[in-house]
Amino acid sequence: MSKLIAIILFCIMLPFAIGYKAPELSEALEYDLETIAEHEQVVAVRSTVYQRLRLIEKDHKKVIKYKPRIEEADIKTARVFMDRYCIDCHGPDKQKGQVRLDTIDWSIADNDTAQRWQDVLDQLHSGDMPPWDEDQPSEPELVKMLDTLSIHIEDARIQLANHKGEIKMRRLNQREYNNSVKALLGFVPPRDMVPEDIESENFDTVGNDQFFTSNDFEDYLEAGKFTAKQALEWLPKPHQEAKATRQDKAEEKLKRYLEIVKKGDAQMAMKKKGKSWKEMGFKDAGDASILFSQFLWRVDLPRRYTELPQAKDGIYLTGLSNGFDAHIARHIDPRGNYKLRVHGGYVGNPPENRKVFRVQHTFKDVIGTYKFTQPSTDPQTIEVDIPLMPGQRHRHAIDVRHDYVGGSHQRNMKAGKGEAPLLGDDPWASMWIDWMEIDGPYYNKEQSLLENLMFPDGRGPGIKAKRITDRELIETFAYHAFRRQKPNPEYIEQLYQYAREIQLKGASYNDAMADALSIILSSPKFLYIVEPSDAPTGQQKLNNRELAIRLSYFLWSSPPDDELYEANLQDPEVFSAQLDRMIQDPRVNAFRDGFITQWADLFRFDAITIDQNKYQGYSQGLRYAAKEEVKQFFGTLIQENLPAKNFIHSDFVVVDHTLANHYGIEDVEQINQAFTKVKLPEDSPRGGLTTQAAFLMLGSNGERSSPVIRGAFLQEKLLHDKPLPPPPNVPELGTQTNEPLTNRQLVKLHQRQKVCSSCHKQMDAIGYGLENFDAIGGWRDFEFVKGKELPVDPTSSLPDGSKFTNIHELKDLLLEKDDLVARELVVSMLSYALGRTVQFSDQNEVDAIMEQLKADDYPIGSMIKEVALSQLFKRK
Amino acid sequence: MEEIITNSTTRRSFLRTGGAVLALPFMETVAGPISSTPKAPKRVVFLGGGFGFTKQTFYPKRAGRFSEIGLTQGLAPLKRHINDFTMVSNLTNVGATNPHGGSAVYLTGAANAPSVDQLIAEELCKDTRYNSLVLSAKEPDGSQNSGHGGGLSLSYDVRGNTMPGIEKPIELYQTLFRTADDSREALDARLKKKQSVLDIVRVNGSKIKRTLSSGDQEKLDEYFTGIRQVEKKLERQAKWADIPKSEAPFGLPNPGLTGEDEIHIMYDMIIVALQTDATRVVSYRQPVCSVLAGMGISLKAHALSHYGFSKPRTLASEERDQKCSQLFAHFLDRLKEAKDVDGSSLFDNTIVSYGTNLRSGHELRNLPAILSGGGAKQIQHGNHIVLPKQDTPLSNYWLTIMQQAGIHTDTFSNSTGNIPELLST
Repeated sequence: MSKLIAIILFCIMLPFAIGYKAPELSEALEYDLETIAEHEQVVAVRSTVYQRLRLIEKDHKKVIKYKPRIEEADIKTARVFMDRYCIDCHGPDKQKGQVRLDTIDWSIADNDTAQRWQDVLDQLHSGDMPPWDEDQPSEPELVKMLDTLSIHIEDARIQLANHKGEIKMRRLNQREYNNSVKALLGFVPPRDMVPEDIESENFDTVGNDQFFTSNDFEDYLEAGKFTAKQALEWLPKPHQEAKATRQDKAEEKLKRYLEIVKKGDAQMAMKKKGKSWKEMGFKDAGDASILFSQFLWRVDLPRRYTELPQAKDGIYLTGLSNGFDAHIARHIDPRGNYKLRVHGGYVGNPPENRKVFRVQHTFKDVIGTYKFTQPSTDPQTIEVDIPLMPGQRHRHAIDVRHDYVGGSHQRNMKAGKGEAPLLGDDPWASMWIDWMEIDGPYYNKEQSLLENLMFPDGRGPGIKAKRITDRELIETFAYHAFRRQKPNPEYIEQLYQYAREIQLKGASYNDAMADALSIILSSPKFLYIVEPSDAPTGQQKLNNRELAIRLSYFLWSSPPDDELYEANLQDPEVFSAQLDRMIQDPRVNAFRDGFITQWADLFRFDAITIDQNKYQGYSQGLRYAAKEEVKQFFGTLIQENLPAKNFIHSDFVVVDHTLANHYGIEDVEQINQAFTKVKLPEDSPRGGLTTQAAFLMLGSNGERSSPVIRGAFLQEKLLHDKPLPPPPNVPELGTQTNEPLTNRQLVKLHQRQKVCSSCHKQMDAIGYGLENFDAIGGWRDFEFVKGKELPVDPTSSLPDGSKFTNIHELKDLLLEKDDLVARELVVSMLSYALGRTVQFSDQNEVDAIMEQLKADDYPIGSMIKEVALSQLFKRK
Repeated sequence: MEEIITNSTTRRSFLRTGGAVLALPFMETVAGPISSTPKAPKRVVFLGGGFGFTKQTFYPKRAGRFSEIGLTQGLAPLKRHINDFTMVSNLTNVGATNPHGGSAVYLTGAANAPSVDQLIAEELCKDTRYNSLVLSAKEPDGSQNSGHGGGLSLSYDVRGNTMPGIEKPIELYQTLFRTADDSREALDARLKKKQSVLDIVRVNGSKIKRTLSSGDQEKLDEYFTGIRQVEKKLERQAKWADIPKSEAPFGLPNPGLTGEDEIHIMYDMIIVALQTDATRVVSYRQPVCSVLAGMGISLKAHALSHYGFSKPRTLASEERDQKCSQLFAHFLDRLKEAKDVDGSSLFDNTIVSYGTNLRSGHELRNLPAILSGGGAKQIQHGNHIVLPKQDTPLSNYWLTIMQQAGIHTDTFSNSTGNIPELLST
């Protein structure tokens, strides 16, 4: 290690060697030495940081205590194992390979010891030790030893990573940064300009996991400048009157197809007369051969389109013309919101999922899916709120298209030939749109800081912008950007001079001011949430301002509003009233989405590619709805203050028409557009997080369901018992087979290896209970493998041995332990709220919160409040 | 407890005069034929590939010369380089404990420690335009899914902080080649403006520091380290402002390139970067998932790493291995074709390392280590070397490479010495 320091020192000294002299060299050096010492410490901590609490239920009174999971007796057994199989060669007498094992301390007090035990564990895992010609442990002996050692090392690592409750100063994550900029400027920076959050096992609020690079600084500067300039340019422009612009592209489209047909027919006629490609007007022979070989597709299908009955009056959504862009008219005002109206209906008698159109930004962000409930002969108008795409850089355009095109290429070719119906039960064209219109802009009542400065009395006819000096603007902006902290006058002066100087050099006013504001937005006082304290960790109360900020970023992922800043939060009644207000405010959706998408691992969701050949019912709309369901479901639990056990099972689902169709819920006319809470029939297997499409898709590799992933997830989230990380150095399975095997049989291959079986036995077993759900969450009784139909077997057991034969029984067993999912949620929410991991030392606080919630079965709304009311939350 | 550089005037004047201090580098300055033959510098390239390879078909079973023991199926595409690369067995990265961590501590040997490429760059790249090139493919699936684990790239700076990499071919292109706004005036203006920004930021930050706990200090240090790095980059840019970058030898790459195409063009640009002496050290964390997607394999990197489940998966894994070897062989081709400043080939003066932390599946022991290039003068290529000691620290291997690159040191990270078996006597 001393060498390392030497190298680091050398490198720090390098700048001095090659160039300049710093005025206070000794001071600077001292500072850097301290930093090195700190870095050394964090090396150990950071490498193994992640939280995990495990509880052991003691006696029937259900007093729950945390404690190390390995008992004295386990250690004793392990010692016997070592004496018997290891110490002969690696003990006091012999030290084969210069390894001696009898002297390693069982109480693991440092990373070095942990590493030595890890080496022992690796040897056992790999099967290299004991050597083949020595005494071999029996399988149960070995499995027990592996279990003990793995858990013991894991516990030690958690202990060694103890941060003693310290909350590291944290940087605004991407969501918080966007919201904070929006509160100041009224605009969100373009998504591709904002530094991304790092991948972490913990929530994006945990400061310890973040790091800051030179690229980040430059990115913040650029993003801030872009956004500030946009805001300054729009600031003086008056609000526009809302107006609707209608688009009817039917005629244009029909004309285009008629031309294609006419030209194609003419070329075909010439071909029959033996004309050359040149005479027919092609660029080359290749172009000609493409047209003629794909004549059905390129000419006959458009021909069929022109023959459709309502082609003159509107547009059909077909495989040929699957949608059209409803461009928001030029002169769009990015400060306002718009509405899209679609007037049309379904044609023939198509399947439910072909009555659905999807509205999306051209950059693929799905806004929603909508279903025609009336036929095209009796058209209806569907209205869609179009949120502005955050940080839109380019022209705003909206796509309206089939959500489920259905129909293979062959099917379309048949339609072209006239062998398959154009309209009807199995239609080619399943939706018809008469017209679409864009209506807006509609402005939000809330003003950004910048607007408040210039238009303190709001906008309106005759209201002029207030005159305000540049210095005043910079100072007020900095004060709010730093969350009501007075900026240093010297700083303001420098910013002012800087802006002036570049203006003198020819920069425009907006450019110069945007430059100055972007520096404020890249400053540590804006980017970091700082809670300085002169007392030991956890001893000092947050002051009013700090508490308002912590609360606001917890529930809204945004800076506090005026009311919150001004409330006396030290008064318990005021605090509680503010909490209620905040939870009822729509801004709480930032917590809803921010917490649940991370808790439920939804960040992985977008990385899963569904095999669309295998899963015909899959569509973009289904993917969108599946993700949205998790948020909407959690939102319902918050707003209706429902118990945590609803994650295991709920007697309702919160779905839209796409999911209702996917789940086989009938009679859903009322849930056309918005997500709606629907009561489930008694015998439905759905309900709870466990049977939601998003979770089931996450628990697949896109082709097949994965009992392993599903089981591990349930064990972690619902049983509050995160499986150990996979052991290193386990040889890859050599078993291969071309036999058709069910998933379950395939997964069981894992367990043939003893080193795998100790963990997989548990987590896979839970996962088997969900085998009735395929990779996109559809119900199945059979699995189709290599052309064979194999029955699904969902019978299995929980880690404690209790057996279940189907999903209902699995849920019932889990419901008996509903305090576990509640505890998992409390611990996670605390971690999210505090911005640090929750550890052994926090157990009393966690217990106290659990105790408060127990009588009402741990309702979610109250849980959020109790977390905010806890002593941990109010102290630093 | 203040910053190293508190006096902004000092820094600004340094920026202004910086250009004159530098001895002119030969490549990007010397146009046309070179009159007096200068000595070709040493270069080192580290390529990292996520999860490991197929156990049965990639790794040679015996030690010896490849021309005698033959190439395995996975290595077969390297046939035309059979005497020009070395494979070392029995190396283990003792710092890597999480099999899903992929290449997390691959070049460091331990968490939050400097990586070998950066230590070499400190020595080799004093007089090049860039201290080193850190390339790191960014995949939509995230780095965990790609088998690379945490961190932003393979490289960690001398303080042990992860370094952001150049993610896209187009970014590397714009870094390496001349663009329209490269004029001295434009650059001066940019540099000066940025410098004043940094000055202001520092005024704002310095006041916070005094009141913070040590944990918070550390976070703020990170921020100011970031600022200091921006400054360092500026200083280097200022030094080089008068020396034009080289002309691009090909057009702007398509911004949407992924997978195999991405690796191809990145490899090609690495060659140009080395040839023009824009830098002498490169690390490249390669894309994995998009390579698979490009080959028509629908499995993600992690799923494929557990190839043992079925025959088709194993076949896909083997196919992937061959693809990687093919791409690597292409890189060696280009190195051999490229002429160096002294008339030798670039290959003769470069050390190339290719590998990753994992052997296959979850095995962290006995990782794949392939070495090529004539830059390591003491290494005779063409052999599969099986080290006598199992789990020889990977750091020993890096130390050996450091020494071959001309760095005077006898230790790196947790090394216990260099690897004499690699060196011909």
